[in-house]
Amino acid sequence: MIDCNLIIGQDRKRELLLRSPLLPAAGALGHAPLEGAMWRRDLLGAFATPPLGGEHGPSPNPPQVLNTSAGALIAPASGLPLRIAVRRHSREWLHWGLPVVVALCPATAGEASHMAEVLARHEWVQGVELHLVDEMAADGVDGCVRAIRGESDVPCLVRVPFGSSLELAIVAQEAGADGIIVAAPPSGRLRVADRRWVKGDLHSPALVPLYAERVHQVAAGVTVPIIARGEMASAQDALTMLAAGAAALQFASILWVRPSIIADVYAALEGEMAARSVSRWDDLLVALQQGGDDPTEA
Amino acid sequence: MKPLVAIVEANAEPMPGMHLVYLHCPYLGDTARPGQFVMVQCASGYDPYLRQPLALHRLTDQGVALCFRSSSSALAWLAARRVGDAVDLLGPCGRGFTLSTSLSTVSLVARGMGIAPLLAILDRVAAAAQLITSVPTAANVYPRELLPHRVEYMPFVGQEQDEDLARAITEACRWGQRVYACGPLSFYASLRQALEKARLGLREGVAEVWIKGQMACGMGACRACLIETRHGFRRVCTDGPVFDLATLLV
Repeated sequence: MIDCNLIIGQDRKRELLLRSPLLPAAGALGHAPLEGAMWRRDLLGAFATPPLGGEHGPSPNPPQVLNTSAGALIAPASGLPLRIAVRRHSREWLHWGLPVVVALCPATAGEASHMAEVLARHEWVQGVELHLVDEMAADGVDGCVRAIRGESDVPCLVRVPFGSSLELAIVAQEAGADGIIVAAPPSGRLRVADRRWVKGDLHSPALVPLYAERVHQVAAGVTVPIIARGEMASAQDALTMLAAGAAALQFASILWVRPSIIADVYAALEGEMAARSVSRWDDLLVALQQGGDDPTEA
Repeated sequence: MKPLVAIVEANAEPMPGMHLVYLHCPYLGDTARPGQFVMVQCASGYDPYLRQPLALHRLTDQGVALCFRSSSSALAWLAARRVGDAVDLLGPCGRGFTLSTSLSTVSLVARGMGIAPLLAILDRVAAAAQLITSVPTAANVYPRELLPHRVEYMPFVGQEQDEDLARAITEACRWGQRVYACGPLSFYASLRQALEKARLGLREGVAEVWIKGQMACGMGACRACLIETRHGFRRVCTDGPVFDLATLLV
């Protein structure tokens, strides 16, 4: 097993300890993770809930799935309001025995504050993952992060948008974020047969080099741990993200396409550690990040 | 549901553009139920990226059969598999039809390719069966010889027989203890009317329908397949794809 003791939020009253560097992205396992043969929970560092909204949830959004070349454009249905999701699903979240990170999608700092206050009543919450709505500006990000830090004792991870990853990562860190998730899937739009446009999130392993570039940029600009989120589809993709500056990895839609990805990457990372004669996760990160070339010079 | 590798046992094209692929997969043969589906990886790489949901068409001792039109590059890839090829699946997925050994008559009603998820019922229920299908052209009629002998088969072609079709569906709703159907959502509104006419109302437990949802994950995670029912929003992939017609808002 990988000797990982990655701590997020060391200065918080309650820190988030990841025993594995491999995580499901928020929503990738839904509200109720499937058991058994699909995923091995002992290889995962935490469970992240789907993004949850305020009292009325995010604005209504008709779900759509469109295939693209080597990818898909997905506009999922709106997330559940936080209170309803906690009432309905928290027992399922706890069932896996992993640290629970609750993903929040507030529209304003006031809503973020209220949601963090609700979560503060639940001791099982071990982290908050803040998702920034598309149009949120820097002052909005600052307000949301400060609101969550003000109301909650647990670490606050901020998932930055694909298009403005570095700028908003720096804002989030200055506001008190304990970690940065790089990045939300890029938005795209497709014209469908009936002349309607469908807007959604683009998912594809073909985007891995673009995610790696974002991780590299953000790693140069912040000091808090970075979690790379993306469609890593191989051990090589995972190593690329780690070399670019990530400390942990979130797997998204690839979990639906290739459920064995977690076990495959975990085994490959164990092999990488053995090959480099390192026993601790931190040592592998140092080896990868110091020994690698600067991707900007490639 | 679990990851599976199935081996192609047979691959035929009984009607132009429609493929019938038999897969050797004893786990599915043992555990799958009529109405369930599998998520098929229709590529050797990641193009297309997402798995394709396909209904279980027939259930055998050693596996399942899939029936589909090669209407996309993904399904064309699957249609091109040869005997002995391996196919990567997740399954069985979803909630199947409610079946009972006490049923003595069942009516199956399909529009278009709606026959795909219905025939597996005949592999698990010994009841007398009526099968009504409605297809656009004679070339789309499902071959009689692929059906069990006990099935009374009534294929309707084109729109000129709409009145006869409506009458036959109403009769089938009267005749069968249970009605199982598959077609587009608009078709379920007319089926509901037929059932209300035949049975003087529609209550739960009389008719079940198979919903073809747009799916990204097939395992209840992405919520891309939500539909609104009388009991609130439900996921087609895990709460369905079989729903009681009385609960649908059609």
